[in-house]
Amino acid sequence: MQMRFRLTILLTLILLVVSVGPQVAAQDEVVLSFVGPEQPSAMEPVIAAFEAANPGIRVEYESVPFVDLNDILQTRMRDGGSTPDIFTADQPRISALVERGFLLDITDEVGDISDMVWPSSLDASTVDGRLYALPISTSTQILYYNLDLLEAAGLEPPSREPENRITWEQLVQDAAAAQEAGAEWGFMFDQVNRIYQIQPLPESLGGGPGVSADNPLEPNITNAAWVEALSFYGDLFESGLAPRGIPVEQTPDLFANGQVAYFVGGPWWLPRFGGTEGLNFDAGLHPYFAEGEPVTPTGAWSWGVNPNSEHIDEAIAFITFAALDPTGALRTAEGFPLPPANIEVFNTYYAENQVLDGIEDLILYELENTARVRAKTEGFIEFEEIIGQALEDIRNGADARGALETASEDLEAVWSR
Amino acid sequence: MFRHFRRTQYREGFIALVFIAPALVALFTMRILPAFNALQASFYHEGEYVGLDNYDFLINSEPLVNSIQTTLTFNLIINPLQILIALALAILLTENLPGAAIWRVAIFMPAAVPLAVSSIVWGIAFRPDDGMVNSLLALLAIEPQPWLTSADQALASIIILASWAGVGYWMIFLIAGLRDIPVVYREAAALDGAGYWGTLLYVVLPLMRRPLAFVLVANTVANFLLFPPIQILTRGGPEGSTNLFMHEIYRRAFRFADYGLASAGMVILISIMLVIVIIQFRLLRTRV
Repeated sequence: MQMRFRLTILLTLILLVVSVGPQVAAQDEVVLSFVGPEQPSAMEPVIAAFEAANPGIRVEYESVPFVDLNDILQTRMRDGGSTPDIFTADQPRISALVERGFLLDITDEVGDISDMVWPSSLDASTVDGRLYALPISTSTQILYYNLDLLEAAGLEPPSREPENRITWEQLVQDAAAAQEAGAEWGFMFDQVNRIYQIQPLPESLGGGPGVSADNPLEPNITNAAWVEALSFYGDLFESGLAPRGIPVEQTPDLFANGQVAYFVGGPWWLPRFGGTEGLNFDAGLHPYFAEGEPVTPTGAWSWGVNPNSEHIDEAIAFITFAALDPTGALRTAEGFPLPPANIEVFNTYYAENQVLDGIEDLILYELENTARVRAKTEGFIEFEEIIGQALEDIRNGADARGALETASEDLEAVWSR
Repeated sequence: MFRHFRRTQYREGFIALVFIAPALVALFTMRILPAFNALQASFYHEGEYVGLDNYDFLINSEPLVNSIQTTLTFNLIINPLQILIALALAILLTENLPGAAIWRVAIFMPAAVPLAVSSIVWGIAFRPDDGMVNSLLALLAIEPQPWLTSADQALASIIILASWAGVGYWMIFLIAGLRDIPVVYREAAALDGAGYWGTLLYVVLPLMRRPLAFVLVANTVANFLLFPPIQILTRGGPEGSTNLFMHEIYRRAFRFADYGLASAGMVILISIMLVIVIIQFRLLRTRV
């Protein structure tokens, strides 16, 4: 009995040491929690490089689906939660995130970076002249096309010359011809029901970004340009040129599988499409309306720091390394193939990662000449959500004017709060 | 002797309380306390006390009222449908039919799959152009249907999905209830000349009141709180046709950061559920 009692005490002590010991040892190490929508493998290069350069700091990355990122940040940080220390901020949402108190003002710690990153990326990360996140990547959209499907229809590939940029009107005709010649689908958008993807349509017709120029909390989505552009969008699906019912996550599969002739998508698909056996493709300039002007979407990710983080200095050190340090920024770009926001790294990255000849010139041209940021409003999260629903409704057959009027009323009601 | 008996009773009661204490603590901290927190939060907006403003906004907001109406319509259809199917399957699979055990397992299996996973699978099956459901309809020479992409069919699609996932689960409870009925009652009914349907309607079903009451109430609560298929597949669309109230509350809370309004919605949802559950209990009350 006594022996059994002593054994029990001994086992309990061992268990205590084993469970508490590592925690005591770990107290010397700073662990930064980092939340973002990229796959964990995308973050490995930059995290490994940072940890090697900063012994005693460990970065734990957690991947969450993009559609849930905002909800998750809201849940964790709403009541002043100290984690995550760092998170990925979608650039158009930064105003809204600042208004909710989720982003730390890092202007004084980081200093002037205007000559280091693309102006549009810096502008998107700034609110009222103060810097709240560091730009990591930027974006544009290009027109991918399947060379085999075009050849079967006897179609010439779209030009890469800006003066000969393909129009939406011509693209619809060519896509229909490709479909008649055997393509399952003539055309498809990448992020088919998101404002990021569709904004160039009304913008090309002069319809604006969707909010009033005088009041960023007043919707402006029922003007003639918006109705015309979104009616065009709905007709793509109504006519059978593009498929309904395919979620955003599965749209690139259509192009990779050779099912669609023309695909407007981000340059980040180049490695995937380039590595797909049997896919014979090229890419050209984003289409525009013949009576309008060429417009491309832009803006991507910035990384920001939680104001309630318990490791603010270390968190700022990490995002500075990832965004501004040439080695760090290159490691960041290696992980996920979005165009880097760091200007110096942009040139290095595309020199080392050629999938299509000259594609970096095309990307650079769009970034410098046709890029249009999304609506800068502290109500962007609501705007993105409600417009997204309207886009999906129009895609599924709803009248464009009616859907936009309903969305406008919903926005006014939500923003009135 | 009487004192000894009372001491024993108290002691047994205390031991029982100790055993159910963890469940009571969990019930209080995870259900009752949050409900009171929601009630309190429903009178605030962005940290300021606003009285009944949130409720006023809610009942005057067309999208929110539509969401409540959609939820009531959804429950009016799905609850009796699922109960009837589960009951019919339970009665069928408690007969001595060949392969009944295998069928019970097969029908129960969808309940073992997380609803989020089922939603993704059904999302692919419901694709209008190359989904499995339309492919099966084509074999029967039926035209392809739009399913989740149509405002007229999306709610029905969600009902099919939720029923596929849930019917097997409720069936198990009803099978247990059927097996609990002593055989002597059926034998007595047979001796009195009652046929199969007479025994079923006048002997078996009345004795199934308790398990039916449990299944009906639990099923009603589950369907009022249905969320994953809406979040994953439709996000309330097309045109708000699947915007069940639980999804709308989530949207207000975690996308629009309007916690006061979301809390008011939660209070209204719980109140509606309570009324319906009380009515169900009264209808299925066992008469002594």
